Amino acid sequence: MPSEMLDWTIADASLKIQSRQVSPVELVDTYLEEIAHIDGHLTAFITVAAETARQQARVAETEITKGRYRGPLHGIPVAVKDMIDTAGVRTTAGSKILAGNIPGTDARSWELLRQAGCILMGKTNLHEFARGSSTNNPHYGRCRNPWDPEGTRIPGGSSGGSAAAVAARLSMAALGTDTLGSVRKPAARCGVVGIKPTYDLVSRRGVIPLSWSLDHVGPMARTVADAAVLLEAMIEPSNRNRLNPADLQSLQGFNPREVRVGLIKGWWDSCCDDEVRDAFQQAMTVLSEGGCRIAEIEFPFMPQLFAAARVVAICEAATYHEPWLREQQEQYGGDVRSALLSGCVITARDYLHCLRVRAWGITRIKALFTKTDILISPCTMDPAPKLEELKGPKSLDIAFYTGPANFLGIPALSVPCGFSSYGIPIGLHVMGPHYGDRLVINLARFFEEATQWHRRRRPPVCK
Amino acid sequence: METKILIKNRLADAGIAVSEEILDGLVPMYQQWRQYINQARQLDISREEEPAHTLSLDI
Repeated sequence: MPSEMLDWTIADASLKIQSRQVSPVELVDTYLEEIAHIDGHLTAFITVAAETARQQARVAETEITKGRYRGPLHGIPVAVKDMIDTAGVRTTAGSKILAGNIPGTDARSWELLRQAGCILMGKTNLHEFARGSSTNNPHYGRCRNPWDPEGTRIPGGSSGGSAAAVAARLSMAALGTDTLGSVRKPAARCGVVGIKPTYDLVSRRGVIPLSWSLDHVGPMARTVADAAVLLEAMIEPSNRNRLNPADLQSLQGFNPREVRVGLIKGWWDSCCDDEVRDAFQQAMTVLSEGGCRIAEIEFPFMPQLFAAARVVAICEAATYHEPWLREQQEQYGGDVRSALLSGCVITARDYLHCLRVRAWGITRIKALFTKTDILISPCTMDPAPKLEELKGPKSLDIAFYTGPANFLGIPALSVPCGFSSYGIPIGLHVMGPHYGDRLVINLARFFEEATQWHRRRRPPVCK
Repeated sequence: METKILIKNRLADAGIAVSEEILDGLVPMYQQWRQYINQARQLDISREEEPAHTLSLDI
């Protein structure tokens, strides 16, 4: 049974935990054993919280035995991106600067998940300070894509360790942060589901900022339903009434025939390679055959909105890092240091103009969502490239499809929609109107059930 | 050369000193940011257009 446990979804595991067919202790031990076997190669984790996990699992086991079952996340192993504070377990942000940073309290998003019964497996690898997309970390090691037997392809980033951990069965689910696509891109490249909720739905308190007005915290899991159950628990209780209806897991009332799916003309296919385009077109066929009404829409602003998003992101990151750039510049990896320094040079006038562009864009996207219910696009330009291919213009536009959703604050997710000829996953990007998180999730669930891409087995990870 | 001096001066204003080698690497990055800023400024956000977009369900 142990190896079988690794393939369980949260839905599978919670049934077995609630009925006491399996103990959270057994589940956690099985995952810890798998981490010990393969993470030396994968480097998905910066810190494996083995003792914390075992202790939390024992507490969960005792509570469940005494009849105090908390709900579907009770006893579920979750890995947390190392940008998110976890009380008593270090949060390095993938940096040397914060190598000894042990927070006294949990980030609010993790606090809510812990209250729901989640167990902390460890802190996952990331691009240093979440400022990059390769998860090639100069201080803690290079994270590898678990779908690549040669170990040469990136898992995406910046939450690459979280995506790799879920894909490689080192954790049942994970948390990431997403500033221009850092949950969704690695989710797409590792064949898992990653959600970026509507801005402000999930608290950013206790999360080390990259860009405070673009940062989001989001879940990653193997199925849409699993990611939805996590997101539902992470939402700040005072924000739940903003969602209508608030139940993110229910498909009640969802009818694909009533869903208008928009493709932004001249944008969706303007920056992707042939393999991604083919997978995306097949996805459109699935949605169309399922009854969705697909139409091309005029909205010729995405490249400019993305450009403005990039400027806002680097200005805010540079502002946050300015004291360290002044005093501990040599502690950064070369790529992150240069990017942050270059951000210090942009003027306030240009930054403020980009914020005005954002306000303008939000009114436009709201108007667009009166004419369509959902927008879809590829999630990434290509399936996971090799690290050495991430140079030049290709690396700059890597968030081309995902960045605008952060800028506009709309909910978005990536769900697996196929594989490249060399066996690397490809993601479908689904976006909805503000607080339309449930519709985005419902459409992705419908797609997932129609395609079953999430059931494909990855090759064994080299040990 | 002018761009390099501009970058150096702005960083100095922020109290940040950088080596010549790092400074050389910042020039193309700064030029890239200028491209993004110019691209963002292509949008005319000073007046409303009507309509901003159209939707066809016929295709």
